[in-house]
Amino acid sequence: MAKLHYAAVPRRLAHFIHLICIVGLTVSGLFIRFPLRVPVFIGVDGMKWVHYGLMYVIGITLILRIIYNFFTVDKSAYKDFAIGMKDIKNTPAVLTYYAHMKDDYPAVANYASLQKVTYNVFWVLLLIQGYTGFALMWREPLLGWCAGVFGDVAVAAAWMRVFHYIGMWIFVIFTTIHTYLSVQEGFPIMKHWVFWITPPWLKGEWEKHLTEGAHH
Amino acid sequence: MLEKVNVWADIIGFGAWFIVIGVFWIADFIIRLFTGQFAHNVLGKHDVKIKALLGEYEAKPGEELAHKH
Repeated sequence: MAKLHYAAVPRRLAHFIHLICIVGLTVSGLFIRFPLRVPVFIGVDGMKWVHYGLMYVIGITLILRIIYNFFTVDKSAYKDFAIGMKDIKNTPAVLTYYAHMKDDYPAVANYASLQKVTYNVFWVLLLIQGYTGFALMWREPLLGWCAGVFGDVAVAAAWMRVFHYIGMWIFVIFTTIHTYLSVQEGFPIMKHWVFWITPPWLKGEWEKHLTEGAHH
Repeated sequence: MLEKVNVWADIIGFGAWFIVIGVFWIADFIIRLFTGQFAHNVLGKHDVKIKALLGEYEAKPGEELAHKH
């Protein structure tokens, strides 16, 4: 089982905003894809506005979260996502642990290797979803450079919609696994990140981290 | 072509999602219930209710149990 570490307030806040946005974007996106089969009181146009609104919220939060990773007192923030050789070598152990063939949790870093892959998929996919989503609104500026490959800008936009939809499914599948394992493998961590339950000793760990960070 | 890709994205997307739910949320959860991992990792206790049904687990002296009969 993964060990509980203190997560700074900006990290938890960004995670919570992303959580709300992903649920909202998935529901509104599916409604836009299947408008006739799921009648909702605000209709397709209303769902589109919800989708656009949440898109801006998640986009701004992602940019702030990336800035936070590199330019704040939480100096180790970006290192948590870095995948090194020790993570690659540890992956078979992580897989056998998740397959219930190994009892001990093979910890070599704050996050297991597959966790790191998942979290990196999330932010890369968010950027792709952002681009393919905005490309539907601002077709000429964002698709003009590649329109020739698809035929014209309108066809390119139609393909962007398909890529956006496929990206959504990849996001949903990774999120489904992430949600399940966060409960089963890191219940105290999930409570800390989602419900902000912080044991008193954790705050001491954070203060120590800041002090050590200031010294190095 | 576009419509075909869209329909296949529907089929593969929903299909893969249902498989993931089946593998993790159902099959893996059942394994964790019977091996006691759910009781240990999530409840923080030995799940006597399930293990007692199988006749495997008896509480140690002074041990707090998740489900008392």
